[in-house]
Amino acid sequence: MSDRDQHSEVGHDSHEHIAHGGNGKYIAVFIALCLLTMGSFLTYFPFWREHVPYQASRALMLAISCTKAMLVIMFFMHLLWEANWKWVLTIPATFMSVFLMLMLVPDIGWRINNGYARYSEERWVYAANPQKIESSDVKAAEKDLSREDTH
Amino acid sequence: MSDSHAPKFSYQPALPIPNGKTCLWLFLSTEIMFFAGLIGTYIVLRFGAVAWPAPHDVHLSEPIGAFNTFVLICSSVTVVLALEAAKLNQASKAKGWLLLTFLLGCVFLGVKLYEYNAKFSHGIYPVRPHGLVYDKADIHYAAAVRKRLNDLKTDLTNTGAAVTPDDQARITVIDDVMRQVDEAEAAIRNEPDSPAGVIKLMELAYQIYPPHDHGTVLQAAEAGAVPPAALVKFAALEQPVAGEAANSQNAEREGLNEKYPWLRLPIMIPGGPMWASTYFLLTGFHALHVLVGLIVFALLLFKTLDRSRANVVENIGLYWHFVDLVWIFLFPLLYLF
Amino acid sequence: MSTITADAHVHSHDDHTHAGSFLSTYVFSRDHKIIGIQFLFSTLIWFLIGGLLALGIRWQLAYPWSSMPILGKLVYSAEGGQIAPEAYTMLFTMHATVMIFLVIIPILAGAFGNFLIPLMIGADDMAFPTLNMLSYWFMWPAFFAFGASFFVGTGPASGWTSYPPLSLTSEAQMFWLIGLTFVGVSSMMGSVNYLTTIIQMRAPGMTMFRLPMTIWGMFITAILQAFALPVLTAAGFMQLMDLKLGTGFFIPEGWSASNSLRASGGGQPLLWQHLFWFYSHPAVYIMILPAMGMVSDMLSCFARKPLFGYKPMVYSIAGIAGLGFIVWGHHMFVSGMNPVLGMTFMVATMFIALPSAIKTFNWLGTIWGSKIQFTTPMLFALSFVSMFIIGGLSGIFMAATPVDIFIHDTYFIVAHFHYVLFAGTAMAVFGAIYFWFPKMFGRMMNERWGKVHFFLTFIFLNGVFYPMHILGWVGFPRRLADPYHYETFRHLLPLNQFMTWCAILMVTTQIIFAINFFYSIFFGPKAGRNPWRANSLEWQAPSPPGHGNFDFQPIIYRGPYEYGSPEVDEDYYPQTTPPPTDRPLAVPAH
Repeated sequence: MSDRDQHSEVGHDSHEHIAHGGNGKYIAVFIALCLLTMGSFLTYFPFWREHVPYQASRALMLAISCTKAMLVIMFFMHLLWEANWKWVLTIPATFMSVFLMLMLVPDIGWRINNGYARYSEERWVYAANPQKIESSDVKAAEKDLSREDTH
Repeated sequence: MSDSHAPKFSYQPALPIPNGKTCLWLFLSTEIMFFAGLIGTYIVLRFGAVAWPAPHDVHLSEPIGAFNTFVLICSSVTVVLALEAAKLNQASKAKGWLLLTFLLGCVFLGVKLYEYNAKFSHGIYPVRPHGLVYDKADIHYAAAVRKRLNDLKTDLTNTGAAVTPDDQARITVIDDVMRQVDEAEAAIRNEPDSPAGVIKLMELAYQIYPPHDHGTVLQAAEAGAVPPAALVKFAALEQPVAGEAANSQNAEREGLNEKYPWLRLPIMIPGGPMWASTYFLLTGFHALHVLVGLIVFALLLFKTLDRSRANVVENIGLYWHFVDLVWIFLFPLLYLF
Repeated sequence: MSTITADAHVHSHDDHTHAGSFLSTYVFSRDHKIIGIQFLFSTLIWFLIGGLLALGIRWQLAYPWSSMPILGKLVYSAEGGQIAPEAYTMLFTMHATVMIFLVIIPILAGAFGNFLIPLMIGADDMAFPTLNMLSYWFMWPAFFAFGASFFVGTGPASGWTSYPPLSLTSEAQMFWLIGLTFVGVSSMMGSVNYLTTIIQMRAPGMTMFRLPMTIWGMFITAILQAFALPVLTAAGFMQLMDLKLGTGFFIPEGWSASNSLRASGGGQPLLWQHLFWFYSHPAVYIMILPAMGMVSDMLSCFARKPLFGYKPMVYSIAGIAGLGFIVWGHHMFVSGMNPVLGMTFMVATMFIALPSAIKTFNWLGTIWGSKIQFTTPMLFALSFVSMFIIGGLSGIFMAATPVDIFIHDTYFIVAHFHYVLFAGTAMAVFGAIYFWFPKMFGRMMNERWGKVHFFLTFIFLNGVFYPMHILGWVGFPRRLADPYHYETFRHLLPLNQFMTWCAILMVTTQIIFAINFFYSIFFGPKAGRNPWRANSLEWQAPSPPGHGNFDFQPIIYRGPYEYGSPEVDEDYYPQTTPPPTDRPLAVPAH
């Protein structure tokens, strides 16, 4: 595949001004990426865990990951300087991957807490990290328990 | 052109980019869907799981993961610098950056291997039909422990040679664990409705492989964090037994498997088998992608990376950034969540 | 965007050298036409195998537990020709697997996609000829793996959907999954190649809206494959790991096989179904969209009329594909899926009727009021339209969750997908073979025998598949070796015997096709460049086209459906013919 010597005209133009932009912006993006990684790594330390609810840390980590991904896509993968075709390719892929994950949630992600498909509750006993149990779970479980008592 | 039969046609391309790059972007979108399937699987299985091990229970080190993230980010920068150098026709500079990228990729894989080794050495990996890791301390777990103990003892006693004091010490340990298994199984058999047997088994499981992080289940049960419905069968846990067990737990953090490495008894990690499945699936496929990238880098290092090869460098660079991108999501999901 | 680059060749020029040796010209060829024909022959052979597997199923349903003549005696000699229950399960599993993964998908995308895409858009070859060759040769490990799976134990016996945990009990499933992975890799290579070729290598003047419908069908299909297939590949790897490495993605809690507990992890069998259908629902459009495109071309050509509503046709193909991604759950209404999802998927599925109806109306509009030339390809195309209506309408029944719950495990489903896939796609493929045969081999197929082939196939296929609707409403269960075990179904035996004999005759009819096909390759009358007097670009190339396809630089002046144009005397107006006026026509901007 020797397509290297058939760089189309428009493609060349779009890359030319990047080259003149210098490597400074790559270093800037690199520093930003490192700082963001540090940001999500903060959640590792005990003082963070004690003071911030885990939902907030998870949201933060996801936001940081998305920001990092955008930085990499936009600058390192040059999508910022590409023509409009970038949307045609990236938006459907993003949409479909997110849609796939969302559609898996009701069936598999909510299996233990969707009101009717509770299964194998006894495994709670073995959970290493029982703080994660939501109060709604406890309530639902208590309801189950009281129902069993009345029988 | 050696073949006069085929004229050189002109085309009307829709995109102002070379075909190779078009194909690569299309390939990357198929890769997005591939990893969407894998990561989606992880997310729903993990958050749908009843129990999930804390990182230290499965010897997962966050600082090492963060270091690897840093390594990949560095390699992303170096490959983009290699591309800029190649565009400016600075072949040797481009090769230097590419070599650096290659080395950083090797570092990433090396660290990955070190991490894998930490899991393998504790028996945390999936095996068919069943590995060392058990989800909970039930009769299957007891049977597995018993089988391992029997095998060990047979090996020690059937050698025909005289029993050395060292062997005798081992046999004592084996007999001690076996006695606990016997007691637990007897309790389960005799009083199927009482939690006593299961509690015995759990205590044994924690002796073999104590949880490294956070509170134990028994402590949690004491604190009322476990739903009562789940404790229907384990009503006795509300009694002081739990406190005693928890205290003895804290007193001795070193598990039997660590104390006697030759023992290699089955271990109980709640959510452990599924954790191992998803962890090795995600990191394994990511590592495979890194490996493919490294092979292409290695091949490119034998070429002159002047302007004429800028497109090739750009394409492999795009692939490499994508691999970096996947890791950007894998790191928090696998290590920090 | 309208820049026409004069030197946008991608592949190095030595691709075009005649290496001369037989091996490089006909076996490891990088020429898209040879690769297409390789795909065609391979898939036709598997078509025969798949058809024989179907006969095994039909025999058991008509004469349960009786010794099957000839084939049964050969294959099940130990049992005296009797088909055992697990063998029956293997038969329907492998019939579906072979027909879907080794026949329909590769014959549409692999054979016709490869052969037609560069010819119809005016390229000298695919964008990446070597990748194209690899995409064919990656089918061979799949052929071997699927072939080997017949001989492991009793063969794969968990349906073509391979639902765990049933599928995890069989060793043969490993070969099945390996085969699936290779088909996936091959399709992925093919689809990125087709997309690049169609996007970047169209002849000057060939704008996207001057592409023939065939190319649009292939283009959208390639998009579907590119986006949906990786998910199945990922899921396939996971199931392979569950099977061989002891992971537990799809293994439910506490599931044990052979008295040993398997990975007590709390995996989810439903997860496989989601991931599988995320691919396999788009896959049913992969199996019909190219056929729709080819039928549109044939209808317009033999009705000698422009295609009715070209742009709505394109948009409805795109609409079907888009909707196809968000409806996979309608295969899972009876799986214990969350009812919230069921509702969503039901509504989305109903919407697919819209673009499908647009397409059907446009086909009818195309042939409306025209002087139809009843050639063999046209007959097949017409039967595609009529049979697709039956198959499509029965699909709407199943989209409704309450109805589906009743008919899901009955023969109604079998009737539905055979009307779409056999009476629809396979008939379109037959038509396409008759239609493009002159371009592939430079000779015509016999028209008279072609018509005999058509009428017999058409009659017998309705004899086989139409009664399945009746069976389905009565509740006759599918995937059951002996439904007559239940007294309710015993009175259906004569109907099943009728269907079986129709099936046997239908398979026998294909002998006519085979003889016609092979005879015509060598002794058929020579075809000129444009035997059907069609417009699209491939008919301007020599028959068969040499390396590089065209002996002139194709420049496109109009769409492919200008039949009966007032500008010219003939009733067709090829895309490459310059307009009669001296006024130079600017190549339109994209």
